[in-house]
Amino acid sequence: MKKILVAEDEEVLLNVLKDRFEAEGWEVTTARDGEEAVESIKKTRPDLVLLDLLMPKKDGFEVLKEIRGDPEFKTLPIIVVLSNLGSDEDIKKALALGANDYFVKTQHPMSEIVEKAKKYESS
Amino acid sequence: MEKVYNAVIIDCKEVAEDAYEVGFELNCENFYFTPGQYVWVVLPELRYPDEHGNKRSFSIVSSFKSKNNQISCVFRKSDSGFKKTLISMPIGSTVRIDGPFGFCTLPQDEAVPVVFLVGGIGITSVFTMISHATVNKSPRRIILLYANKNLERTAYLSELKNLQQENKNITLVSHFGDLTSDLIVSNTRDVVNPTWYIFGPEVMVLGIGEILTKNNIQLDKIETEEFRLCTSKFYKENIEVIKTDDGFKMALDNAYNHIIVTDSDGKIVYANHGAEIITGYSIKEMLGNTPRLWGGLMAGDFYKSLWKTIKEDGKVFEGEFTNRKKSGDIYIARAKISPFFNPKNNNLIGFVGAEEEITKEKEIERKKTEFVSIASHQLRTPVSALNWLTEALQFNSQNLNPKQLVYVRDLSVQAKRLIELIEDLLDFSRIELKTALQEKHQIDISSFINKFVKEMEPYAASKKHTIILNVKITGPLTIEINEKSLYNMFQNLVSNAIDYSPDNTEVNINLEKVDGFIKASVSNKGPVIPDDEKPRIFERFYRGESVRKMKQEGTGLGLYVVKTVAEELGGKVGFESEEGKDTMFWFTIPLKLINKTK
Repeated sequence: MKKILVAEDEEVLLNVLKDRFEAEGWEVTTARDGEEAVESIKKTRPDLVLLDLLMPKKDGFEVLKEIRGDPEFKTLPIIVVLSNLGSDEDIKKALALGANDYFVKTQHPMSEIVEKAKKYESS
Repeated sequence: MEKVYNAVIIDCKEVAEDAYEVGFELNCENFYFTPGQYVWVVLPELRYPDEHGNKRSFSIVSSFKSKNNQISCVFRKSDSGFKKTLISMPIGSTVRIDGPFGFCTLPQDEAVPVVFLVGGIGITSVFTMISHATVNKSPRRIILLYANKNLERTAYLSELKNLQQENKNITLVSHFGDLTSDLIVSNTRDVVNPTWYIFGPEVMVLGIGEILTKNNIQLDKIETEEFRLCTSKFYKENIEVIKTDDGFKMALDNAYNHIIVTDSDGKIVYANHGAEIITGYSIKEMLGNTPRLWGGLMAGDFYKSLWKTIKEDGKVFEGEFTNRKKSGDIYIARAKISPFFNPKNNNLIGFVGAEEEITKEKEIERKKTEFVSIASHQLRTPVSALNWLTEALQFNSQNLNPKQLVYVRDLSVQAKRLIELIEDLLDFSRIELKTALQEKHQIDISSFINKFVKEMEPYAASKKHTIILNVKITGPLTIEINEKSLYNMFQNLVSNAIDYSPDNTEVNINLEKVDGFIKASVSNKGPVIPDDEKPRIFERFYRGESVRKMKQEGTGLGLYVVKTVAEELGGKVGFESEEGKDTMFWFTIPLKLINKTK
């Protein structure tokens, strides 16, 4: 079973994503802040990471920097999650830091995120 | 506060020769008033006719020792039908009392001494003020010069003497005969800068008013009951001064609004005190200079359009200016600049500029917009949750009954609407806060508009509309603009055109070059915009009656956004809506030509 880490500080969003991915047959681990996310990646070595950019303790950008700085995780697929549609800057910055893709919470239904995830599962 | 009371007459007695005191009890628990104020007494009917009617005003008399809803009025008996009726009314009769009114009250600062110059029955409100000061143990110094013809006609003398016993700050001088200048001066030597009160018959008030001004007492230190001084000689003299050129200039000089006059080249020939206050420059520094001294911070086009309006067109220019005070502080001013002409030959003489600082108002407006921005950002998380939770319900819908399925579908539609509204508010706040236009992109207008139309087509098709694009610009044309803002402008106009026109009709988008501008216009077969809605159509949050009938939801921000962005870029907006013609909205943006040679 493929493993996914969902890093999201909003409990409700985290739970609904977790349920959906489990229903789609993924093994889901969760993190509620940036520090937890880094630890979890190193410990559980997921096949894919969904990373909220706005989180306590360490934000998504810091997590990206740290993970991509580790040679072991150079190719780990990371999809960043934005709550801001207008933040082109954030998207550019995240992609420059090595994010593989992004989606916007208010714009994308979960089904699209699952589709995206499947792409990385098969690659 | 309630100002109309029913009251019962509880007492009527003679308090001095021909002076009657009538007591009232009001139908309220406490009647609140400030000593010195008056009430209207309204009689239900006049037993004796009175040409002035059934209403009369009286100073409130209260010793503050009776009940809190009891007051009296005192008057000299006369031929007045009103007074005769009032005296004749039996105890227990009902009248109406309106009030309290009036501003002839004691100064708030208890350190300010007061001098009362009173004639006859004018004592009523003074008696109330002194009683109140005594009951409240006020430290205020009070001098009362009380003039009457004789002892018999002196009302409340024993009560006043008692008050003087109780309150050592009171000096009471009872005088028989007129109050003279010497009498006033000799009895008020020991008070410093007092407020003077004159109460009594009109002739006496005016006479004493003149004595005081002759003794160099300023008018603003003299209080009388309601506009008694307006008819006086010294008041009339002042009015005459205002009517002269000097007086007129004095008024202008002292206005708190910024007013300047320039010659036809903009050189300042007059500046007032208000201009000093707002700009921080002295009148001396301003004279001979131009308003550039504090201005010049806006884009060049702004001043060009200003000069064109006032000098070439000879019209009034109205606008918001960002200026710099002498201190270096930036401020925002709303100004009107108008040309004025020589009546003999119609030649331009110069300009009058009047401005008002609105920095604070702008700041408040900005904070409101920031609040909208923050609130909308905060709304995104719960609304995303709502969206995904609904999606989760739909994903697991096998256990839902048909009705629940409909509910979930409706929930999903509403959540999406909520997101659209939030995005609209965010677009609006980004434009208001001017963060939207900072980031600029090089945009090829033709490929931009083609892409835009492709994206709008599904929406148009959902309402059975056809979008027809007509680009009258040949070759590549690049403009420098924030892409999202440009997109917003077209989106607002085109979605309006679709929403507010009958199904199965055309929406036309035209693009052309006009005098150094790109003019974009969007027209539809929609109904004519009613005349009363036309002037307000670009206003923020405005939605006319006619559009609300056609489409219920909407923020009233779309056209406002188009206008704001266009004007921010140096362009304009407008519309044409006439019976029998297509309704057309347009905007222009200045060309910034960078011809691509591919």
